Amino acid sequence: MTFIRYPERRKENLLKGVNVKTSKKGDIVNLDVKNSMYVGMGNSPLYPMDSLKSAITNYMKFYKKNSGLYKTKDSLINEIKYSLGGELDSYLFSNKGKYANDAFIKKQKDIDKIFIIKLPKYVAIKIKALHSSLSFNYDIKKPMTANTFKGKLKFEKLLSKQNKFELIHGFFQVKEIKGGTYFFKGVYPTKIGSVSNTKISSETSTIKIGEVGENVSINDFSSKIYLYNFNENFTKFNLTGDYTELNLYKIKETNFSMDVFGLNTTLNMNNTKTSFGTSKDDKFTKILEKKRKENLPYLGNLEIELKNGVLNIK
Amino acid sequence: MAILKIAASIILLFSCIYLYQKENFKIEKIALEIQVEKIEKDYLKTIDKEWNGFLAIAKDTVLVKKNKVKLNEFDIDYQKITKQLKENPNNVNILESLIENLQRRLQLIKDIKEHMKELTQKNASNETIYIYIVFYFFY
Repeated sequence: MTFIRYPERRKENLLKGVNVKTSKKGDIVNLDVKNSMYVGMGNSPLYPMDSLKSAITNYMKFYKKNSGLYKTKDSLINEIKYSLGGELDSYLFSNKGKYANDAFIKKQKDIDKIFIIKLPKYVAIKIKALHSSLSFNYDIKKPMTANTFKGKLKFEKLLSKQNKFELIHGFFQVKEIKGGTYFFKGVYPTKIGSVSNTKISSETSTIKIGEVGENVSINDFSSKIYLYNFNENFTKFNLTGDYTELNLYKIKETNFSMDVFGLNTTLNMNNTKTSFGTSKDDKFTKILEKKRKENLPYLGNLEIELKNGVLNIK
Repeated sequence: MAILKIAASIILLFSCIYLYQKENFKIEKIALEIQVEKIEKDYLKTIDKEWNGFLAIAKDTVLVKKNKVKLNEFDIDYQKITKQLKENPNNVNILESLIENLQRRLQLIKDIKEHMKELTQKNASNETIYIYIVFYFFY
C-alpha cells in the first residue's frame, strides 16, 4: 500500500485495520483478509464534489444513448480486456479532461493498493467477499465457487463445468465461460465475451454477451439482456423472463430458428411497437417465429418465453 | 525579559496560525457537508417522486414488493456509507459510493417505469409474426 498525502497517525490506523490471516487444515488453505470497506474501493479521486454529480449524471445519459448498439464478440472482449473497472469508473477516467481539477487532485489523500496472491493453477478456489475488487489474470480450469456482495470481479476464462457463482451487486467481467451455474442480482454490468454449457439466473442486472454457444439457458427477472451474436453451432438456447428487456441483433442475417412466446409483452421491430398476449386468461401466445433456411449451415434454435417483457429486434 | 517577550510573540504567532488553519478546515468541511446534504436532499426528493409515480401505474404486487426490497437493500447500504462518510468526511471514494448509490436507486425506478410504459402500446396484436432470413450478396 502506498499512501499519498496521508498523515502518519492516519496511516498507522489504516494499516492496523488491514488484517491478513492464513491457516491450513489438511488440503485446505484459508486466506482471510479484512480492511476498511472503502479503503480498497475506487480509483484515485479525480473530481471535486460539484463536478462528480454532473459527471455521473452525464455518464447515465451517455450510457442510455449507447447501450443498445451492436457489438461483435471481439469488441466486447476488448472492452473487458481494457476496462479499468465498472462502466462508471471507465467513463470517469476517460473523461477526466472534462471534469477533473488538478488543484483538487493535488490536495487529495489517496492510497495506491494492490494485493498480489500467487496461486498454483491446480487448486480449486472458493471466494467469499464483501466490497472487494478481484482480478484473475489466468484461465481458471479448476472448479470455483464465489459468493460476493458488491464485488468487482474480472476474469480471463472460467472453464470448469462445476463453477458456482452467486453475485449480488458489483460488476462481473469475463472473456469466456465454459460451464457452471451463475446467479447475478443487481450486477451492473455483467459482460461475458462468450458462454457455453451454462445456466444463468438473474435479477435486475445488465447482461451483455458477445457470443452465445451451445446449451445456454437464462432465467431472469427484470434485467436488461443483450445477446449480440450466436455461435455457429449453439444448438439450443432457452430464455424465460419476467419484466425482462431482451435485445437481439442481426436476426434476419443469421440462419437460426426462433420461437418467441409472450404474455403482456411488447415487440419493437422495424421501428414499430406492438403489444402481444394482453388477454386476461394468462396464456402465453406465440408472438414471433423464425424458420431456418434450408441448404445453408444451421446454427440452432432459440426458445424464448417472456412475461411482461420487452423484446427489441435490431 | 526580552527573551520572554520574543518567546511570547512566537507562541502567539503559532497559536494564530493554528487557529486560522483550524477555522479554515472547519469552513471547508462545513461547505462540503452543505454540498453533500444538498445533493442527498435533491436525489431523495426525486427518488420519492419517481417511486410514487411508479406506485400509481404498477398493478403487479409482486413487482412492487420486489422493487421495494431492492430499494431497502440500497437504503441499508446507504446508511453504512453515510456512517463511513461521517467518520471520513473528506474521502472522495466514499462520496462517489454515496452518489452512485442514490443514482442507482433512481435509475432502478426510472428503468422499471420506462419498461411499464413500453408495455402499454397502442398497437395490439394476437397474430404471430414471421421473420424470414435475408442474405445480402455483394458483387
